[in-house]
Amino acid sequence: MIAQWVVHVLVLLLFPPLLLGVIGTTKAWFAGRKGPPLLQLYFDVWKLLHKEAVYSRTTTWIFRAGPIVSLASLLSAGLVLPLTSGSAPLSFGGDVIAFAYLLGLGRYFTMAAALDTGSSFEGMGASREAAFSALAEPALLVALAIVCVPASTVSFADAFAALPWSSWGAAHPEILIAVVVIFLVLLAENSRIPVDDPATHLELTMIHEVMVLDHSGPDFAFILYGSAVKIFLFSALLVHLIIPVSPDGGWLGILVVCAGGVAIAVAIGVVESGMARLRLVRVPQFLIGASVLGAIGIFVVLLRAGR
Amino acid sequence: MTTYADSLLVALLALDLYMVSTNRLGSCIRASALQGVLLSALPVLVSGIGPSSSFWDAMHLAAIVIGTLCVKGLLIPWVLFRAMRSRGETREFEPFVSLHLSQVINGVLCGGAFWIATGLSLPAANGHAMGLAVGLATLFIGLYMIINRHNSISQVLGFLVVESGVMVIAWALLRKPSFVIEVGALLDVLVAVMVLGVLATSLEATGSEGGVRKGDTSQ
Repeated sequence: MIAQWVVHVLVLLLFPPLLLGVIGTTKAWFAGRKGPPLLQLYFDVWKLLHKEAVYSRTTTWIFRAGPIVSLASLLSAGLVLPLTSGSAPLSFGGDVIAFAYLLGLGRYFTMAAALDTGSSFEGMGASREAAFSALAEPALLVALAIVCVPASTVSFADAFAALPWSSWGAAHPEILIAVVVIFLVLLAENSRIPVDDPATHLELTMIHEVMVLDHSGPDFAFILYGSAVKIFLFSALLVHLIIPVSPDGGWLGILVVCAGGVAIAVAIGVVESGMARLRLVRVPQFLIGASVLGAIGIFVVLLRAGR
Repeated sequence: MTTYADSLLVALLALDLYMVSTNRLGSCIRASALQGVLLSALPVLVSGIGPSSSFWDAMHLAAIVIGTLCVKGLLIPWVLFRAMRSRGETREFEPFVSLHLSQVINGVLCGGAFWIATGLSLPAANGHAMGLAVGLATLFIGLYMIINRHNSISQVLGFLVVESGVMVIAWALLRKPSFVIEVGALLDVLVAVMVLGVLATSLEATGSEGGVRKGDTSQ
């Protein structure tokens, strides 16, 4: 058991930055470029950790706390979510809700830190982030509910154990809906392309990048690393819905979660290469659509349960 | 109804929602064509006619599948694309209710349809509440599309969705080729008349204005 948790924590800490490298490589391959090395984010984080942070005199402790709290809440969410096996180190009744709101806490502190700088530009980003995440949150919760309602549980371990594995694609359209909705939420929450363009800087339409403009040095390293962790958490959630991971995990569990994470990163890269960013006014529609699709998944679950 | 049919029905419903939430006529027509293709596969999954059935049953089924595929999957979309190009209208500009709110309303309509489907005790629908629910939801969404849009092409698309809903309900309840389902083809005839109407007005209007409400589009 202890060994399993050690593996869980090691995968959670070491694996995520690779995913952003895979996305970058996929996009570079589509564009016919060479692209940065796969391990670029590890180098970036290492470099930034050795730099000095610069703080504006208008900022308060909130600005300094922002990156730390958001990374800490993401890592806590990673302890709650089963990664390499069917259960997580911190598993309790209601951990599904805790997971969703740990993500929310991290986001809140990112936004508060952005507002704390007093820059209207960052305030604009914070306002957009707040508006869009308010719409993404119901979609995520509804998708999690699709997984939890059949098992009448609010715990990841029980919900994943109760997932029907036999011929799930055809027999369980609701799981398929949950996968689609979580993928859409993944794109929105991680500011990937149809919602936000992670590659833009200093552009009026960007959302996430604008909020972290004033952070530097180790703080910025935490933010970059945190964004990788967030993508990893969502991809692990998707992998658990698509491929079963047995409760005792083992090497196969590690392999499934890591290979699945890479596959999802490639999928994100393909989406980013093939699509243009949505106009800002269309983003709410994208997210409401995801929520409504999730609601239909719930209806299907309830109909099949005969309730 | 088999489990594959359930997945197909959910895909049909997802397409309905997509059609409601897009204002590009081209995407809408494509989604409607895809819906026609999926709908043509539905009889194969629900009717239980397979290799062991009699020859005439199989031929009957094949005729229905190919007919649906050609009419709803190819012919009507092709004509609508022609109508769209000849009028030079590629977007629905001002639906009465915004697209955001439409999505929410249609989520509620779907919820209502699923609720009604579980509440109705139709003996024939025993164990096939899914087909009934999706059929009703599709019907409601189609009616909503008709009342929410100005553009006559979108209205024809809305009517196509209504017709798909009727077909889904018919197959969910009867599950075998029968007279009632073939009478449903009359709805296709009505669609054909409406498409002809759209084409006729587009010839007449020389592209300056179209749609049922006069003077609201590209002037």
